[in-house]
Amino acid sequence: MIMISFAPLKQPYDRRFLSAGDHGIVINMDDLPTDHATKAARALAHAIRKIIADDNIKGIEDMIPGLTNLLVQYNPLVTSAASLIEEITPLLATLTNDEGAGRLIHIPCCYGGEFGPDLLEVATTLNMSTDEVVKRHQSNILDVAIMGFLPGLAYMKGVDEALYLPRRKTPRAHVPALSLGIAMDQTVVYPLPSPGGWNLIGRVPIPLFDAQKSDPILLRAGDRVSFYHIDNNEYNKIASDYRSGHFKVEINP
Amino acid sequence: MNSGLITFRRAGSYSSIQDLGRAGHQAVGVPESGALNKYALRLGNQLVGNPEYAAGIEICMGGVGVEISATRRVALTGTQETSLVIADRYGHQVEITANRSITVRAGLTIMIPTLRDTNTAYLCISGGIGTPLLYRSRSTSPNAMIGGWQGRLLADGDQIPLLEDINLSGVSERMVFNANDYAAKHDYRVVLGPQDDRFTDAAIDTFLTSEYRISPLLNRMGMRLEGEMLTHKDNADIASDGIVTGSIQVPGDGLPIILLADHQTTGGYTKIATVIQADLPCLASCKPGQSISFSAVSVEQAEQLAHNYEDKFQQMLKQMVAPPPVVDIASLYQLGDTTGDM
Repeated sequence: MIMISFAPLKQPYDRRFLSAGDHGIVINMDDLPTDHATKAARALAHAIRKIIADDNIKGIEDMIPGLTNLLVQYNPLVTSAASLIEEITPLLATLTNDEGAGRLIHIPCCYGGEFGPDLLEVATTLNMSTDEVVKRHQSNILDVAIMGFLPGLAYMKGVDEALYLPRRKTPRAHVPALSLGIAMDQTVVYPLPSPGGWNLIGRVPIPLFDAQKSDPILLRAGDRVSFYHIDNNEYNKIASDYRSGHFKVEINP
Repeated sequence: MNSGLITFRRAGSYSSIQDLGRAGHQAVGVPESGALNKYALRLGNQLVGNPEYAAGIEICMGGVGVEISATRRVALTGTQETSLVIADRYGHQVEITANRSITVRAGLTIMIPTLRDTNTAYLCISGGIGTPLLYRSRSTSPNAMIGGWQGRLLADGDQIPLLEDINLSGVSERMVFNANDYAAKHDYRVVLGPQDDRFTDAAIDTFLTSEYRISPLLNRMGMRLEGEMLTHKDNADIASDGIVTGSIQVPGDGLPIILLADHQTTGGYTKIATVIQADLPCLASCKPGQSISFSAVSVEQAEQLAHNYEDKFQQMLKQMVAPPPVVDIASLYQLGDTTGDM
């Protein structure tokens, strides 16, 4: 297993534990650079899951890793913020990220045309051809930093620097499901139709959230994602093959 | 096992199937969802003999009419003043007060009129709603389009499966005299944080001393407030992080939004404070246009208040009694039978 190291947490740090009412505590890691904090938050969630499994901590209802912190949601009838802080503090001293390099997931994407209405504008703004934008978007393997907002929505970081753009000035009221958008160093694929301000350059033919499956969510934080270009015909074929159960997403452990 | 259907003759404008939610999967973006007033849902389930986690119908504003294809016990909770109206096909009606269960024969119509004293009430049916489970919950999250009935709010004509009622003959009707008071109140207690340090001292002071009005933009995701703007020290953006129900988010326009049961799992705006657990049930009763204010308590005080609230609920359940009999409406027009035996 590959160890990914991150700078150790400063001890002590007076903004380590923040309050989210009588329902949550936030373990703040913004004393680390953001990408390290993201991994540290995930590592802490992992360490807490272990002590939950050993029955050494009670009352935790959920954990949500953020970019620079971990939110631990608890039931105040079963535990308290004070007990949780006492139980979690020792874990911070020995925090290691042993999640490895993450799964590598290959996701097809049809760039441009009606599926990527902003591709031309993005290319013009960046002063490159649309082919160049598409090539560069596929060139980097992206890291799923956090999941959130909607079921299955992954914030994927590590987009080629030449493609850095802000979000659109005016968000769209309606972004079709499975649209792929870029902004800054990130890529998202909208799992559902929703409003959105990202620059839409393509669309993927397979759902990121599929309630029919026993594990409905395709991606998880820590995964790596590689996009590959498909044309319209391939898009339609993959979409239909997926529905009939004949398309399998390529996942390398 | 499917052993009955509930048919929505009138679904109302914002009704949905809810249980106690699906916490545990927010790390992959699945909202917790669940009843806005979990205590009222738990009470409704207790009254009809269901486990507290069974799914019921969350009703906002009222105006709902349903028919059940099998004889079931039902109860309306979350309100003190609104009564159920049970009608037969001849137009005979009886009113059944809230916070008690009543056995309703197959084919009768159950109506929930306009809710006067609250914005949110629950109709629980013995056996419980039998829609498919997603992550062990039936709660509807309309924005994420998951759970409940086809991932959406209920619509006129919907026919929803009920689970088998294994207790119908074994459990008697029940009522409580002093259902917890969920009436909308004026002052809501909060714990400051997690990003209160991103606001000016004046903004914190404004937040805790001024009046806010609930905007018409109120749904299961959040309650927008109108009033004094809150000033950030620098800006409203944070590195995206997790949200709990009751979080009060303040985006760049300086106006607070209280995030409710269907809140998105993560967000990128500063959160000034969180409404305490013991005040969430009353919050579900608030209607647009009402004014509210906030006062700060410590985490320890909030945790104690959560215990007190639960203790009061358990006390109330201990005092659950058999209700006085109701005249069976069928008997009202049956010759020679006016004894009202249910």
